[in-house]
Amino acid sequence: MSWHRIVGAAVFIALWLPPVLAADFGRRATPDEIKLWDIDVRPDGKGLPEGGGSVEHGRSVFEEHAGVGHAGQDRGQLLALCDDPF
Amino acid sequence: VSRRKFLSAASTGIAGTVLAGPAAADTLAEVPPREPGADLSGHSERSKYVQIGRIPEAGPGKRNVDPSDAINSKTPLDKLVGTLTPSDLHYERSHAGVPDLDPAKHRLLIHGMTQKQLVLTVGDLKTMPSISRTVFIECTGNGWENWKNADENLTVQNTHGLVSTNEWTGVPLKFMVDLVGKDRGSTWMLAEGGDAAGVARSIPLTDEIMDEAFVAYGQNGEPLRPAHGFPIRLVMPGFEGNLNIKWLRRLKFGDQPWMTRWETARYTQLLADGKARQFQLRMETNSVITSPSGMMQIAPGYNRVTGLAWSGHGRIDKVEISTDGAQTWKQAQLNAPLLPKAQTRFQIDWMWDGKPTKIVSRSTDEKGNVQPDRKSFIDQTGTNALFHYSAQQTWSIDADGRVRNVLA
Repeated sequence: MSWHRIVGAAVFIALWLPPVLAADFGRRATPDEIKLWDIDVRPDGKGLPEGGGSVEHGRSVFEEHAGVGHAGQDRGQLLALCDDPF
Repeated sequence: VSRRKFLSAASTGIAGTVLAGPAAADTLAEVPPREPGADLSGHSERSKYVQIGRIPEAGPGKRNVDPSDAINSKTPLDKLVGTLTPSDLHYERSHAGVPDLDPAKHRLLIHGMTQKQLVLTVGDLKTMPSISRTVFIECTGNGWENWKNADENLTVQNTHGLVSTNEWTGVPLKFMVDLVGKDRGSTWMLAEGGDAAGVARSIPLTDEIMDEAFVAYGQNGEPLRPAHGFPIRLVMPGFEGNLNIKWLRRLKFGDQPWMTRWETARYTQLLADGKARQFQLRMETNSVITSPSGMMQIAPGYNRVTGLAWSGHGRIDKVEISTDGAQTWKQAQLNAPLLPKAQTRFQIDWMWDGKPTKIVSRSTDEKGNVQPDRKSFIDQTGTNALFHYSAQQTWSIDADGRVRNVLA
């Protein structure tokens, strides 16, 4: 192999290689730890945790855990407690 | 114009205070003599003669609130010069306070439609190739005080203080996308913060966003300030402030938007016909005269009119100023450098004849977008909306030189 062909091959390899190796950064996430943080839910329901629920069940959960403290407050008052309007 | 009058007018413009305050020394003999100075220190403080700070506020018209009730904190545009915002004066919008994040314990998870699911530390990010870029970030609510009426007691800090320009340093999104091997079919990215509100936005992966977005750990040459996302945040040049997710801890790739509460219940635009527009992500061409501006007072004669212009579309191409209530316009000088998607300083000199008038600025960006006047803007959008108010800002000046906020 001639000298300039060797240089040519080296240049080709240098250009072809990614600038930095991917393995240099971070670590692989495990499925279990992704589950801890993967909290988004799409409109089609993808991302919902396992299990089920209903509006009626939600009402009883609310009344059991929060209803006493917020007795007599309407929906607007409750929303105002949760968040600023914007 | 006498030299003294000139100095008086100039200092009024810069300090943004009332006309002819404590004047400069009349003769050099009255200038205080030299004396040994204070000890050197590990941290430079502002001069005691400079009164400057942000104002924490709530929604439109909800000013002078207790800081615990504030939802944002506005930049004192009337007291700044040049284009860069000092880090501690960069506007702030936080949805659940400022979290106290230990960078050693913070992690960024990148997952979803990717070949690899990666966990990165702040140290990992700092070892990656970095870029620095000077860009404006603007809250979508900037300008919202003037949707329906103009409170004449407002300063430019009240009306336009939700925009700032900093130099941000970090890693291009593209680099991380290559690192995890994003699927070709993934067209959207979810970016989520580590704040208690868990602010999360769906971001369309357009060519422009893939080329320009980056994850920043540096702000004006130092680590991010906690209020601005320490230890890491997303920077999305030209797009709504809330997309620049602070305290970033998760990037997820998918093939459709997630419709988070931040893009359904919040940050949507209620139109005149009652329908809501979603994903109005880009910040429009905008400008405002910062001096003279609301609550200042000027003297007849020579005045410097200066302000800031910016556009989420790119560079500012031109700023025109009218000093006769939008009847005639004159092109302002733009101060270099003219950076794309960064605030640009403009100025013009003006001889005020002492008669009541109105001053207004109008910007044009490199894509030819012209900042609309108030009437055309409202005709187009109605007044139900809360966000993206970018109409021309008019300041009225009465016979006594008092400058006040008006709609047009």
